[in-house]
Order: sequence, then structure tokens, then C-alpha cells
Amino acid sequence: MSAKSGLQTLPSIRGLTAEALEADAIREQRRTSLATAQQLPLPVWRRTDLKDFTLDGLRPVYGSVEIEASAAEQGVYIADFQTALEQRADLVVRYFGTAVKSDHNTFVAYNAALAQDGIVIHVPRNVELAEPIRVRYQLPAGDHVIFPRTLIVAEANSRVTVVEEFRSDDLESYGAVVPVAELFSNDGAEIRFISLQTLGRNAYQLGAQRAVVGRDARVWWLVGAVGANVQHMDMEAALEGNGSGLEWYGFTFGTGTQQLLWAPTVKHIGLSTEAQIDWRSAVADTAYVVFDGMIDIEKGAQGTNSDLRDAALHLSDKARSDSIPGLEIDANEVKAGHGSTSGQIDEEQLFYLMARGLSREVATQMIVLGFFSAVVERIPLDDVQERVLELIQAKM
Amino acid sequence: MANGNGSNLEIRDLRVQIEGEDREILKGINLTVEAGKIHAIMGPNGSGKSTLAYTLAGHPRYEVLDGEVLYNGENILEMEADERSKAGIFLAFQYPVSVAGVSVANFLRAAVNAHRAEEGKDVRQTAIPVAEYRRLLNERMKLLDMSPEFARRYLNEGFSGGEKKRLEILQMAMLQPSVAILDETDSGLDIDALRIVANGVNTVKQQNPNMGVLVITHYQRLLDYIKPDVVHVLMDGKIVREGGPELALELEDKGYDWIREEVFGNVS
Repeated sequence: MSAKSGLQTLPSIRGLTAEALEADAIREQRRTSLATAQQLPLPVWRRTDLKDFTLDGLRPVYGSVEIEASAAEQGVYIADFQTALEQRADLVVRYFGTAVKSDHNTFVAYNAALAQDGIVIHVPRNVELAEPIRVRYQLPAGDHVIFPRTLIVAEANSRVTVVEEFRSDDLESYGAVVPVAELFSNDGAEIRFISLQTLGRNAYQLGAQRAVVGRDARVWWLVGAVGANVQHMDMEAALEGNGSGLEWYGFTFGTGTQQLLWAPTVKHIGLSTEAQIDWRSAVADTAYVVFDGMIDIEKGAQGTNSDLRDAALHLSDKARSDSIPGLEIDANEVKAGHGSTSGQIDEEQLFYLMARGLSREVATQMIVLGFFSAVVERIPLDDVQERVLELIQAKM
Repeated sequence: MANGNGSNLEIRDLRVQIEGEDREILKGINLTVEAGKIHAIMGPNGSGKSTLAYTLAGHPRYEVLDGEVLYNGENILEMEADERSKAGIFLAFQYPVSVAGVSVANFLRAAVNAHRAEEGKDVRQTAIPVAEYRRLLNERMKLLDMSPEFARRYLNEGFSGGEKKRLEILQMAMLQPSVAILDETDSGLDIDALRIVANGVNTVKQQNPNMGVLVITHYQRLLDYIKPDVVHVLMDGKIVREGGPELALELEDKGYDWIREEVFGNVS
């Protein structure tokens, strides 16, 4: 399966009017969202610096998506977002904007107004898709912005694995990727979702992802960032169904002057839900990485079991990392914990490896790869595991 | 790989302190580890045994105040730890360090390849072929009575004391050094593990008869299995006595106090 070929470009965001919007099944939402996007100011984020950034001068571009999936089987529906709006309007309308509210912030609102590139996946009840679905988005050049939209619906007791990656070359001027993903893991289903950000210099990634997890359903989720100048990703997993579960892993490698932020929140809503969150960040040069993680246990979520870990490894004195693990508990019979560590390369480890003949450089690389392995070794797909190792190695 | 070429390791007037501490620990060590010979250094706690081991291996925390260590005509004190290793000097650590996420097999392959690397040659030319590496690793692991799953474990992570010491000797067996320094390799070992470890050392020595060995130990026990040619007694940062294997037995029998009295006078 391949997407539409050729790129189409709209006028810059500044001059957009409702006439530029697609007249499709969600045109009313698109109109409302455009108005919202234009009214909302740029968010003021404490740990993401947008002072040199505005969407205004960027031109939306379409045709950036490439989908790789074996022929649809057993009633599974896989299509790019705009095609799905033509073929399965009912499906898209039913779920669009229900996990990530379109007025979440101005970026998400623009995505809701303008998204055409993206993927819609619907897996019927009891169907287990053996092969992973792969989606790649390419930001083609500076001065452009893409609005990837991911919608995954796994019906009861189904299983699906999706790997998406946002890529670009190093750009001559600023460009942006504004992705939104909505995941619905319905009763007894499992979604495995991997989202990698490997953008080049001068790219910004500003987006939101949210998963809604039903009764006894699971989400296995990995995110990773090695690219872009600036990243800010709001993410939430809502464990609504009783007995639902989440495994959530993240890695970040910031170098140069990169500022990369992940803000994952797990919301425990149903009874006896479980979450395990583990993040690894390395930071070098004058880069800045942020893990703004949160466990939120709502009233009535008895039997919750939640654990959040993150670790940061500093490879230079001027590199910075912030870890802000939060815990909010409104139920009484729960188990919840968090722990975060940060530090530099251990000199004793370095000496031990060097005493066996490894150069300082190779020994350092080995220790850094080892640091990430807690996350990398959990990746269930060999080729993704290799890709992630390559991405990490390329940063050293 | 550096192989026994018959060079002695000559330690001359070595004076060392711990970085940032104004206290000399080694106060002028003179000692030659002869090629093909097994030397034992014995001494009470705090005498400077481990400082000597770390200094020879190039630990950055140990600051050399004076002296030199000559090997193959070069002063190794001017080399980084990795260069010393590649020159053929090996330290079996008293306290091996654990490194999460780095498997024994991957680490040892990188170490073997670092030793095989040659200036001006592509690593792909000099690297050990994977099949040969596996064969070698399995063979050496068998020698040390290690099960194959050992190679997949992370370096010293969750290892028992005995497993750590075996891993040190496995590394020695893989790297085939020309001078091996064993720092308290017997500590924390039960008698069975001690036999296995000592047998490993002796086998490597047989394979490489020119290897010089410096066994650092507090107790005589290890020397029942690794028979020294020369015994040196280290006390208060100096070699205070030298002799044959019988000196180790005498120390076992009488302790260290009588030497202390002879050397430093009766200070109680």
C-alpha cells in the first residue's frame, strides 16, 4: 500500500481561511478547529522555549506519509487519513477528536483543522494482526509544516502493532511537525504503539498523543526522540476499563542545543488498573531534556498499581535535564511509586572497561548503550530494536 | 594480541598518593616482575597492595609522585589504561565493576577486537571472526566451569562473589596478557571456586609460559594453588622482605607482626 504521490502545498498558516479546508465528513469540526486555532495564543510552556517560533509563516504540505502494511486481512481496515474520510467516514467521525480534544492547544487545533496525511487503522473483534503496520512521515523542507494524524481503533480482543516515525533532513530554515495520535484499545484488546522522532536540524515537533484503554485491555507504548531543535509532546494514557494495563517506555538523546520534552500522564480511572512507566534520557553538549511524568489516580480507582521510573545520564557539564515526576492520588487502596535518578558516566565503570583495552570513546559508547538497554531490550520487534540502537549510536 | 615476548615489568622507586589526599601510600616500591615467573605480594590490610595494583593498571584516582614502571622499554605510567591493556598488562580486579546493559559476550568481543586492532588497518580486517570468537569464548568458559548463559548476562550485574572472580579470569584467558596482576583474587571464594579460578590461571600460564604473574594476596591460601617463585612482603608502602615460597608459609604461620618488629622496631 502506498500513499498519494507528490506533494501539495497550501498558503502559509497566517493567511488561511475556511475556504482552504477540505470539504469532507469532518468539515464542521475543521472549521471550528481553525477558528479555535486562530484564537488560541501560543502556549506558554515553562520548559519549552518557543520564543523564536511561530506557525504563521509556515506552509502546510500534504503527501508526506508513507504506509507499509501487508494487504488488509480479516476485515482489517488500513488507509491514509484522507482516504479513510472518504471510505469510512462513519468510523473517523465516531472517534476523531474524542481522545485528544481539538481545543487542547493551538497546535492540536490546527492539526484538527488541516490534517490530511495520517493513518486510520480499524481492527475488528478477535482479529490479531501478526505483521506490524509501519508509517513514515517526511517533513520535506524548512518553511513547511505537516499535521500527521494517527487513529487506531482496536476492537474487543484484537491485537495490532503500529510503528510510526517522523523524519526530515537537516533543514535550512524552521519547519514543524504537529502530530496528533488517538488510540482506542477496546475491551480485551492490545495496541502496541511505537512513535519515533528523528527529525533534522531546525525542525520543531509539537504534538499530542492519547490512548483510551478499555476493560482488561492493554497498551504497550514506546516513544523516542533523537532529532529536532525543540520537541514538546503532551501524552496521556487513560486506563478507563477495569483491569486495564499500560507499559510505557521512552528514550531521549539530546545533543547540541536540542530541547526535548516528553510529558506523559497515566490516568488511573477503572478498578485494578496497572501501569509501568520507564524513561531513559541522555544529554550532551548544552542540550536540555525534560521528563514531565505524572501518575494521576482518580477517585474510585481502587486497586491501582502504578510505577514510574526515569533516569538521566549527563555526558557534559553544561547539559541539563529536568525530571518532574508527579503523583496525585484520590483513591485509598492503591500502590504507586516513582523514582528518578540522574548522574554522569561512572568513572569506575569507565576505568574497568578501559582496563580491558577499550578506548575512552568506545567504553563511553558501551556504557551509554547499556544505559538505554533497559528500554531498548523491551522492544518486541527486532528491526525496530536495531533502528533504535542505530539512532542512539549516531548521536555519539 | 600482545603475547609473551619475555619482557620484565620493572617498578622503580614508585611513590603514589590518592588524588586530593596529602598522604603517600606507596613510599618507593622497587620490584621486578620477571617474564615467566610468578611473584606474590603479601601484606597486611592497608599496606598499599591494592594501590599498587590500581596504579599499574592506570586508575586515574592514583597520583604518581615519583618513579617509573618500565615495560618493553617504555614507562607505562605515561599510558592511558586502555594502552596499558593493549600493551599486555592485565589487572584482575578485587572488586569487579558491574555495568548494566552490557553483556559479557559483547564486552569481551569489543575487548578482544581492541587488542587485535592495528594502526592503519581497518577494524573489519583485524576483528576476530564471529564464529572463531564464539568457539574461543565457549572453550575458555568451559575451562572456568561457566555455563553458556553466563555470556548473555550483564557484566557483573547480580553476580555472586565467585562469579565475579571467574569472570575476571575468563577475561584474562580471552586477552592472553603478558603480565597478569591478580588483586586479591581469592577474596570471597569458597574452596571449590578457588580451585576453579586457580586452575584457570595456571592453564593460561601454561598456554603462555612467558607470562609474568603478580599475585596480590593477604593470605597464603591462594598460593597453595598458584605456586609463587618469589614472595615479596609489602608493609607500610614499601617492600620490606623478599624470599622464596617458604616465606609465604612462614607468614601464614607467624602472621605479619614479627616482620613489622624486625623492620620498624618494636612499636606496640
